[in-house]
Amino acid sequence: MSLNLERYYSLRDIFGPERVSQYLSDKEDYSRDMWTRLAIQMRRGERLETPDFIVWPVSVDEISKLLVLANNKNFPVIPYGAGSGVCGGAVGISGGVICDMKRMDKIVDLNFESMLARVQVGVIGENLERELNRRGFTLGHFPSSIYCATVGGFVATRSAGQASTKYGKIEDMVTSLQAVLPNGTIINTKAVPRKATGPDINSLILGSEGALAIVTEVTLKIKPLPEARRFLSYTFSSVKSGLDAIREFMQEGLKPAIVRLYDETDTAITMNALGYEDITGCLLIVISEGREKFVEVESELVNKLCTRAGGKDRGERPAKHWFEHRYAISYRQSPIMSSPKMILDTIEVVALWRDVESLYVSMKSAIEPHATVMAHFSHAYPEGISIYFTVMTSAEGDEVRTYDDIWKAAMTACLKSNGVISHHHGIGRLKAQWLKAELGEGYKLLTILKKGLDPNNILNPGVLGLGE
Amino acid sequence: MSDSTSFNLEESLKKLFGQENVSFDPLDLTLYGRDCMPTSILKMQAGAWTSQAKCVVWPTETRQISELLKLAQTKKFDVIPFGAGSGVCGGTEPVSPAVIVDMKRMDKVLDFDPYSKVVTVQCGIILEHLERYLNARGHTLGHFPSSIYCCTVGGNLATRSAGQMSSKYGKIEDMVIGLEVVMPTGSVVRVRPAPRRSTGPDLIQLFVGSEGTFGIITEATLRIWKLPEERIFAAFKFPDVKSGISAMREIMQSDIKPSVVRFYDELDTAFSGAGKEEGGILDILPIKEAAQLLRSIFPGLVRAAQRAVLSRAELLNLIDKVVKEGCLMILVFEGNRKLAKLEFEEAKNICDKNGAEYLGPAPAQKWYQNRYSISYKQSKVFYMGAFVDTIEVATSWDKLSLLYSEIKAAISRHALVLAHFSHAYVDGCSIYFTFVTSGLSLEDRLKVHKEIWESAMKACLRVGATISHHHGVGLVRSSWMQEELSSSFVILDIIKSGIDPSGVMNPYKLGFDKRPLEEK
Repeated sequence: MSLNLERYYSLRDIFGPERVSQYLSDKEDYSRDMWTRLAIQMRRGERLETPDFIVWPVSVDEISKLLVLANNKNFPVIPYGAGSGVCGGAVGISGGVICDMKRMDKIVDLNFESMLARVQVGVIGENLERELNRRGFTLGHFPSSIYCATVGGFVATRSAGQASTKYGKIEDMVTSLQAVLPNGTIINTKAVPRKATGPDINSLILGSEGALAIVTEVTLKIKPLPEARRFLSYTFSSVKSGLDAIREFMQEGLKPAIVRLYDETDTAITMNALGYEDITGCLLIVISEGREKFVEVESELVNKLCTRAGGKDRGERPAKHWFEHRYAISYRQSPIMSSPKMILDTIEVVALWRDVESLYVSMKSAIEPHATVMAHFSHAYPEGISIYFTVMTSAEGDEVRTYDDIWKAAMTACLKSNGVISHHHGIGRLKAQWLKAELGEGYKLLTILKKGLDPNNILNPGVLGLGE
Repeated sequence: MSDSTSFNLEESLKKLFGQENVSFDPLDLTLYGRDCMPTSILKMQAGAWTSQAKCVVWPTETRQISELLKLAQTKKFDVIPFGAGSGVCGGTEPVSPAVIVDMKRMDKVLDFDPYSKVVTVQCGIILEHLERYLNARGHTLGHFPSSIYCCTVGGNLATRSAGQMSSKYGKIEDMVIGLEVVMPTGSVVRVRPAPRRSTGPDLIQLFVGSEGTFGIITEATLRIWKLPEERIFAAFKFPDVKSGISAMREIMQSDIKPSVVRFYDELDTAFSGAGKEEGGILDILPIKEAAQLLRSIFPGLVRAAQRAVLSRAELLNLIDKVVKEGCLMILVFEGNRKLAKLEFEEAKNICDKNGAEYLGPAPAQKWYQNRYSISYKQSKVFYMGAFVDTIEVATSWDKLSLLYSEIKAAISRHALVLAHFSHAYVDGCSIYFTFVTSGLSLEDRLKVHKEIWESAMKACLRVGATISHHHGVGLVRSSWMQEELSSSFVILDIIKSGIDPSGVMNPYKLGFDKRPLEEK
């Protein structure tokens, strides 16, 4: 009790009484993110590990003071955005302080001449997007969590949005950042388009999932809102021919904003929902957007190549329907999770074209004994593509055991078939045990980074499997 | 470098690499003791330079490099990886005695995969050899630094190089998707190739730009492209620098991705012979034939005259007040035929809007045909007793004009300075300054060189631009690194002490002190 009181006073000195909480309801809310495993545990009445305090900083100096205190008194600090991560990256740790970034949500500067926006990282993705839209711009970053995710979360997890094929992933958008190191030092990287002054420090912080620093501000590249948008849909007789079509137009140098190929199972569900009945095969959705003349040429070329690969033109409607409901799916899923014994999760991996089909087949057969599995392919590149599996089952035995079995089967198959274990969801605590196999000797490098930057292991200990 | 009493370096190296693959020969040590950094060339010309290379080794496999670095950590001798030695920053020049590791025997293409559009190579391969290999199979890497004939992929990765077509094909960090690197402690890190991943911080990017201070890069997997079915050349003349910058920005911000964007300021347009076949300082004299005649009869006299003129830079810089040739812009579009054509049309509209005169494809084609020869012509300047150097920087569009005028003013006090803008991005652009000057003695030349670099670096830091866009840090910028990176430098320092505890990998480069953090 007295330790907590002393801790409370120290935190209150930094944040003021309004922005420190030890309410039980807050501690329980902040004990998890959207990791399915924690949702299962909570659903069946288990008590999750809770933090001791939640704080809401409004300035980088407050965070610096917090981390200095954390090092002196040896308690963990967990940076927290909006808690929509699905890997257990932001969770409660006993004795720890959750650092909720959402009060630091200002747009600091807009530079239209250089198409840059400087923002505090606590801003919700959708709110930033709306502010940019008002001025005729877009960030071009549309993960399905956009309503409940912060820019800080994007940066920490190396997120990718649905239109990444055109607008890039988060690492293509960040040109500079401000962050606080675990010892309280505030660092800034220079906002220039590109430099050759040693290794890129932004790349070391991006994807560090709160283990190496707390990012506070970023400079992001913005783009003008597209003039035109074209919706294209095709069905293919097999996943292979659909993938061939994608590979062809990606390697032709085209960059449609949205590219999504659904396997047979996923297509049946989707087409059913759209009211198409006698359609089988694999649905490919392509959306091209940008300047009018470029969209025209791009759509024409995509159409030519998709038709040549055996695609049957299905017009605009399937693509338009997807576009209009693209965020709804995640929210539709949550009622499923409120039923006891239900397990619903997503597994996303990535590979070079030469390994994609075998990866898909191998993972599908590894998961099928445990759960119903459907997949779509998106985030296309000239070199390969990401596979997004949705797995669902009602557990016969222990739900957590079943959950763990599904993931073990999937990740083992992934590594065996030359896949990389995560394309954009990140590692968190969920995939930490496979990160060592994924990185090999490279994992030692991560531990060196961690030991060097956070010798007392106070920043989000356990994430990425570091500092357990 | 600590004395090796009971440890015999020569014996250990010969055992590891084989007798024929180790050299202590003075000629080898001289050749491997420097790269193309101009100040070392000047010193060498004056007989005032000695090599600090202790010996040269030629590995043929990763295992040998692993054993070498393990040995170097424990016996504490310095190691410097060496590609083809065409760096211009002194990155491979040993400051203290060091073992030079020439990577060029590890030059194989390990895997060519046109289906996935990737190629895996050993990093000692000469870049032009790789490009030729790919061309023969209908592909291209898209990486064209002017050093392409004399640089290795390892050097490209270590220095964060960018080629002339980077606006379309990307810079080296955009091209590499898989890596094998030997850590300073000898362990081998492999990042498996994938288009993209979210498995923690990007470990590949830890080594791109590490300039040999974090280990030795041995293999890389790179993205490749089909050879373009169409290539469209276009040249424009702008009334001034301002209008050209405006056009460049608009083009880059309009979804257009030219493969080449190069915009020359007035002096560079007049002097460098951009678009002309016989480019060069000598051709500024309107009496070209007379000059050629003089040169053939009285070569020494002409050289002396040129030297005298070149050391009066303020005279030469006045020429841009007289020369009204305008500013040349070269654009190239390539790839899918329909898209390239559309890009050209849209870009032409933008140039017209900004007051440009369309010159047709010829000047751009001429530049393309002579694009590599310019660097080799620079050596003539050294023979004349003058010297030439380059400083390349970058910043966002809103600061670009300011950066240009600040650095131009700073250098113009001491030398003739030409500038062109290239490597354009949506959010900014790079500026490439070439300066020529002379001096009566080696001390004079080094002094003026130092003053020029200092004023240029200070201007960058003042404006908030970066001190290097693609040449790297090496020795020339080493002392500016702390200011350039300011608060974030500590991260590099922490990594360095963590992965190279003995501090043996290419010491004194990238702003690192010789000894690691703890011992300071």
